[in-house]
Amino acid sequence: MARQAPGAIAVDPIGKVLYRASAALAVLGGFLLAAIMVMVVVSIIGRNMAGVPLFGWLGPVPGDFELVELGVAIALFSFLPYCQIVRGNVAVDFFVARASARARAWFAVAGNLLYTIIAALLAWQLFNGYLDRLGPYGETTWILGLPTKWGYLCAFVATVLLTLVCAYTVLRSIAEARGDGEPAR
Amino acid sequence: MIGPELGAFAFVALLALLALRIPIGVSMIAVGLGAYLVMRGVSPTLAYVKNTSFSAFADYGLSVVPLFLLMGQFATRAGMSKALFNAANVFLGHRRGGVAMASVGACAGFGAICGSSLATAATMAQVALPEMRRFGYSGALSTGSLAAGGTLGILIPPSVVLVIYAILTEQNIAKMFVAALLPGFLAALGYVLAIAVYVRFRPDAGPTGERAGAAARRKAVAETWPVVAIFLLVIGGIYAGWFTPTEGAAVGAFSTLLLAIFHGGMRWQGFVDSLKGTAEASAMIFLIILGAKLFNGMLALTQLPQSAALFIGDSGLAPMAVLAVMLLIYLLLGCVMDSLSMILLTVPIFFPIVTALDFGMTPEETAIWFGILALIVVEVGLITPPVGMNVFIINSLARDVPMLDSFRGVLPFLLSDAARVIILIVFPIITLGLVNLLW
Repeated sequence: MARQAPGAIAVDPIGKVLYRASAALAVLGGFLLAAIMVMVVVSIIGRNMAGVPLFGWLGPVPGDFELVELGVAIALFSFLPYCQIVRGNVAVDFFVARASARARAWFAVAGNLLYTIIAALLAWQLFNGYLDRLGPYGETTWILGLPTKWGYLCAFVATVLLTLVCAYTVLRSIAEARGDGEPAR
Repeated sequence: MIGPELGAFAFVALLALLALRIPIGVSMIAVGLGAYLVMRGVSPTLAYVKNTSFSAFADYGLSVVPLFLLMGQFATRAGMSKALFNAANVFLGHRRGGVAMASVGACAGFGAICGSSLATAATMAQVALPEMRRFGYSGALSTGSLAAGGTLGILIPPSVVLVIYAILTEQNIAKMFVAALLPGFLAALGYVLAIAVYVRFRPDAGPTGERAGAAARRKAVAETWPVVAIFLLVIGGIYAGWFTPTEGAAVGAFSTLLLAIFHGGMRWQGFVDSLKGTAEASAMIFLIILGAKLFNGMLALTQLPQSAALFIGDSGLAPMAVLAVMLLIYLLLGCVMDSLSMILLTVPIFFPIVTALDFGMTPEETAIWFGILALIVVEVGLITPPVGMNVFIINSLARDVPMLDSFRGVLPFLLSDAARVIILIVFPIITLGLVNLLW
């Protein structure tokens, strides 16, 4: 994909900090995804070696399905802020393609504002989901007994950053609408 | 206002937001929650957000998507594009238009380890574009063949859009993959034929390349063995039931990672860049998936999909006419929208309608057949104006070719696509034969 110059993503100090935080979180989530990939491969090998002499002690990774579910969910939430700050979310460009770069930036203000509200709503409700799962009888996964509240907590942290990033992108598009308009992709 | 009317109104509101260039996922979430609020009130809507958001991402079936995206990222760094191009070129290069044919063939090969069209087009262009220009191929033919060839990336399994269709309609992913094999091969063949016909009318657009001897041919084919091995392992393993699609994607991503390190020379920075690329693509897709979950959940409550299916089922319209209208809608939407959003948006409405119609097949056969047809038609949108993403990306790599030339170059391939869709509609056996043979 066509990459943008860093200047088009963030020029001001706040934007730079948010960009670094989002990129760091995305890479962290990427490592989690890669770790899950390795875990699954190990689990498949273990499963198939279980019947082989001398390797009988091997077996699948216990609870591999729930590790995949929980891990991938956390990774996906951690990817959201990065995608927003690098303008990675797709939209239908066709109907405003003829508008000026400044007018397009005003449409982006509306989109980013809407996303900010949604991100805040997500963060709030994910935190509520976390609170629901507190206490000694909170929901746990089937085999490993992992408390699912951790998943909600990680998702909450990621959506808080997402809310901040979205709010920043609102300001960024307002500045672009008042200035030279949205940079070309 | 409740019931199907609200559903229809929500659809109109969604289209309005989309037209204002509100991101697709954001639009779907906003309208989905807005209509839910109208129907159910505040606290049920908040509970809807709470119960849907985490579970939309913590879904074992969907976890196959980020893993295939990771595999695609590693694949673009595996250094196999040169080998794939050579393997096709030693057989086709000496023909008129042969280097363009080889580019299409190489795209098909790359599609076997990459489930994304844009990545396939962009990766193969880096190798094939300089070769075509070196032999004096016209700008239109070089960019057109690569943009069209890129669409093979998503048709030939593994395919991210096909996986999403299978999950949405509760079909077996392995069967969908097997069903896509022959249409994918047919697509590559059709593109090669399109080039052959094109250069008959415009001989100077695609001069002949070099002829290779038998030894060079054997050597070039042998060099593509890792791609063949990974493809057979992943698709064969999923088919044989050695592992689930998610596990197959993990195995594919892991073996492509090894290939990228030991053959592509990928180092730490390349690895981190792959993770970032996966992060961006996954987040983009899953925001739309979350939007589709919230929107379609709301839509199901309004009973719109069921009413539409009943209405059309009772209307006495010919099934083929309904199918033709649906494919036409995909074609039109595809001109302005990306394929994944289209599938997520339309399948909840179209699928009940299609399965309610009688095409003389079992419901499962109809589902598989419709999925492949829809996939092909939405992919055509990638190479049609005004928003042909594949054409844009290839054109940005070939700076000396005017955009208009690139869209002209795509024309023969569009004709080939149209012919193929008609063939697949008339002969469902092409799509279903292999599935029925293997299961």
